[in-house]
Amino acid sequence: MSDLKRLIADSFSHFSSQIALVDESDRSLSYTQLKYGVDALSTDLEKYGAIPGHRIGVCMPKSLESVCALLSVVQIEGAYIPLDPEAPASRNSYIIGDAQASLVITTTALAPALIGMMSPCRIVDVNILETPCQLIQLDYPDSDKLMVPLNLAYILYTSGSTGQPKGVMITHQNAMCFIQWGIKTFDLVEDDVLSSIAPFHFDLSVFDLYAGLASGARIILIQPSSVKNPMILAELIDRFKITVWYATPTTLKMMLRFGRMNRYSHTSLHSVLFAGEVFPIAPLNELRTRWSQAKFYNLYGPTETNVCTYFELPTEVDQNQTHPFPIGYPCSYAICAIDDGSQIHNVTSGLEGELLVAGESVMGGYLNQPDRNESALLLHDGMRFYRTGDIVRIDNQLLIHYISRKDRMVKRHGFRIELGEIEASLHTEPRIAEAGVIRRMSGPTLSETKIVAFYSTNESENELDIPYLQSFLLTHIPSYMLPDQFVYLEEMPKTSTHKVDYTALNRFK
Amino acid sequence: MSEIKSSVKTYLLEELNLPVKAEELNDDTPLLSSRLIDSISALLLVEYLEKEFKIEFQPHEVNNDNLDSLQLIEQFVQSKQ
Repeated sequence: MSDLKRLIADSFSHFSSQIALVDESDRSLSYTQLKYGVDALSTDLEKYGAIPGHRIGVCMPKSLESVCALLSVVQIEGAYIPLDPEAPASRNSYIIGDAQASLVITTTALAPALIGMMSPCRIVDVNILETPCQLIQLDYPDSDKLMVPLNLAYILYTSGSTGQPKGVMITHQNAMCFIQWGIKTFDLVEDDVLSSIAPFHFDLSVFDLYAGLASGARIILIQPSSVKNPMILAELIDRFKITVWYATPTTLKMMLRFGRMNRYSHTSLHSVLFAGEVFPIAPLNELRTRWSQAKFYNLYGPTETNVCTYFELPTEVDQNQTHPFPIGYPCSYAICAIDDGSQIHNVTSGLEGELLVAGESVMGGYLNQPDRNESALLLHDGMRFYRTGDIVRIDNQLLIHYISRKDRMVKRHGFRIELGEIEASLHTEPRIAEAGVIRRMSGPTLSETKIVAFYSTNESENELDIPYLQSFLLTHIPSYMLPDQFVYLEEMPKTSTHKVDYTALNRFK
Repeated sequence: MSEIKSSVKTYLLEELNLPVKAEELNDDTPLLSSRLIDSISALLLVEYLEKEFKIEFQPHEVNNDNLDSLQLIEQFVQSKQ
């Protein structure tokens, strides 16, 4: 298999009558039915002007239809941009414009808000798997820019520190090496049933979808509302006999606390994969007791590199252990190096510094961001390294341990959040004079990330209403980026260089 | 205010520390859709309701339709008793 188009074509022919996708309402599609849906939509995309190399937005709730949309873009050799249907329309229209998408595949319910925010466009009705949907046709003047010198598969937008999200360009090669590694490492076969928990605009979803399809497995599409409800998640594992469970540690912790796990056997599970956050020690022994037949893996990798290190969690762990598990060893296709501030080193024991990653899985670059590409990508020893911004330590077994971030990016529930993007959004409210957003660790073991937004207002203005601030921010940023707390300050503390003094903000209670 | 609504209101204000004044929390004040209650607090509220009123939620019943206001919570509790 060389690319995602070949991957899905092979799966359609090898696994024809088997079930490929099932949703929570028990709607399902066989591989052949999925192929018919993809063929039909591909024809429509071409009819309405899509050609190889075009970038095509997909703004749909997670569904059989949305998978069909993503795969149709792959089939016509376009690059898809999965959009969060719950994000503000202003953010999605920014992304569509930044990516210069020629088409957006969406639902009749979501189309009006998107169209309202965009330049002249035309709407056409199409059916996806017999469900009425819509295509938005866009005309961007620089059509020659649409072709990029890369074999692009998709573009994932992540939070950007300057106030707008940035597009991470993933090539077919980037995705394929990770998918093939996953199939081999977790022994995926056609009897497997994979959970698809992450939304499609989140990089975790790539594994579930393509490793699942490539092995002929069954993929269970789980709704975002169910992901927030651990009682439903715990029930789904038994109901669909899920064998591979891939989620953030937060989701797992919530299942242990609220999922009424005693009611279920969960004996179908053989691989439990964690990613997106540091894995906490405390719940592992309980998980091991409940899911004794399963293997547990911690996966690490920024969107820019796909998964690049992994670690199989030990069968037993000392409850007194306070340091988190390592992020592991590099995957077979990844080359890691450490920048200790003075020079770049190969991975050797005792080193501490920023983790750099090279190899086939490293992104093509950020779209339209030459300066950012220059600072994030580094040529060294004839290889192109991505600077992860993660400070790590190498132990005497050459295992990589995460220590901290170099910048102001935080992770909450697996989502990447640039605090600067929240500040930039607060600054667009005319009454706000200054804004400073910090991360605060809370919870009994200080392992939960809370985001606290401090703000001051212009003269003659007072404290702003919290519900108002929340709804204002939700017109700019997705709900997962919303601060947990807003603190009004008459005056923002400043450093000697007149910048927001984050050290002082950290001291506020 | 009925007994059910009044005990739930006390729980919301005193145990979940909702950032709202008692006089502003009415029968129809939106709780989840307004983000006054986050997803973890909603699950704590479910645990409280089950214990306090000896009822049981099915997984799919943990949603805005049953939990978004004191009025809806009371209706749900009564329908289960």
